[in-house]
Amino acid sequence: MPNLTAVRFSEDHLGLDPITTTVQQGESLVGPLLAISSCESFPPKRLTCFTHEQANAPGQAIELHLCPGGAIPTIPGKTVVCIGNCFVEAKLRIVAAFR
Amino acid sequence: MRLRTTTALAGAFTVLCGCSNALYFYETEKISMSLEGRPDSSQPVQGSLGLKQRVAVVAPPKDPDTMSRARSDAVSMISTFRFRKDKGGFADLGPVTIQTALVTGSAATGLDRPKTQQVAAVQVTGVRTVGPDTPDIHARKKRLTDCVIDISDNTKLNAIAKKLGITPNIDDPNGTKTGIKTRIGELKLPELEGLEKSDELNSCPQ
Repeated sequence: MPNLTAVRFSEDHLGLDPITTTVQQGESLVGPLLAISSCESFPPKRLTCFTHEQANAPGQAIELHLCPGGAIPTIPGKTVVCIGNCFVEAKLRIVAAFR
Repeated sequence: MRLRTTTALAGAFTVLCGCSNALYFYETEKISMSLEGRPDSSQPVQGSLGLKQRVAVVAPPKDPDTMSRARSDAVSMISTFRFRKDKGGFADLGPVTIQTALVTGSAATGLDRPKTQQVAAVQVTGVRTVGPDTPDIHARKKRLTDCVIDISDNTKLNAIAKKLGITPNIDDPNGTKTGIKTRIGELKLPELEGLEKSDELNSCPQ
């Protein structure tokens, strides 16, 4: 049976490190990260939406990395979980999640 | 010296959500004016106008026995203040008009979208957001979510959902659990403390 999903929103002013901690804590509480997307449906708020899958928490902690120019960086020993629009320090960036 | 009529109009209205004791509203305005004239015609007439306004709104928890926050109507509100002084003749003593308003609930969120106040109302209505928790807070949240996963009593699950202001899933208790776990992740410390003390979760293993 497919797993249920849960969404968590973060404010746009957070830096990449606090966002990473937030996502890691979200994985611990509700399940592995599935998707990252920006959300501007609640103006004037600019939010980032993290979709988590309700499944067993993965063993390895997730890492978030910026993708300057849209290029996904190569992280040795890690594979991409997802990429998406993400507000980082009030700027909309492409962020890739690795595990 | 001739003193023209100065008028002040202060108005306030509130649209309550229909729940008694759901909202407290306080407003006071004080206006004072002083004019000083001297027999010496070389000295100008001096005047000052002072205005003091206090507006306070308190929207207490929906249910004082739990940490449930007031939602919807009670926390959607807009306060506006408009001060207008018309031009006058001698000493510029035109009428002063002050209009204030406090609008709550759907009336507040339903105002024309371009108005900045309406945007403010959406902001007050709010979306629950998350940020990094301290390790201690995260551990406390984790303890509660682990506890929720183990709950098999649907009545107990629905009671927790009600306290957190979320809708129980009628198809599958796992849906309710997902909602509860998500909300726990969003809780601020006072709400978290309230949930920890609730009858349903106060016996969670440490």
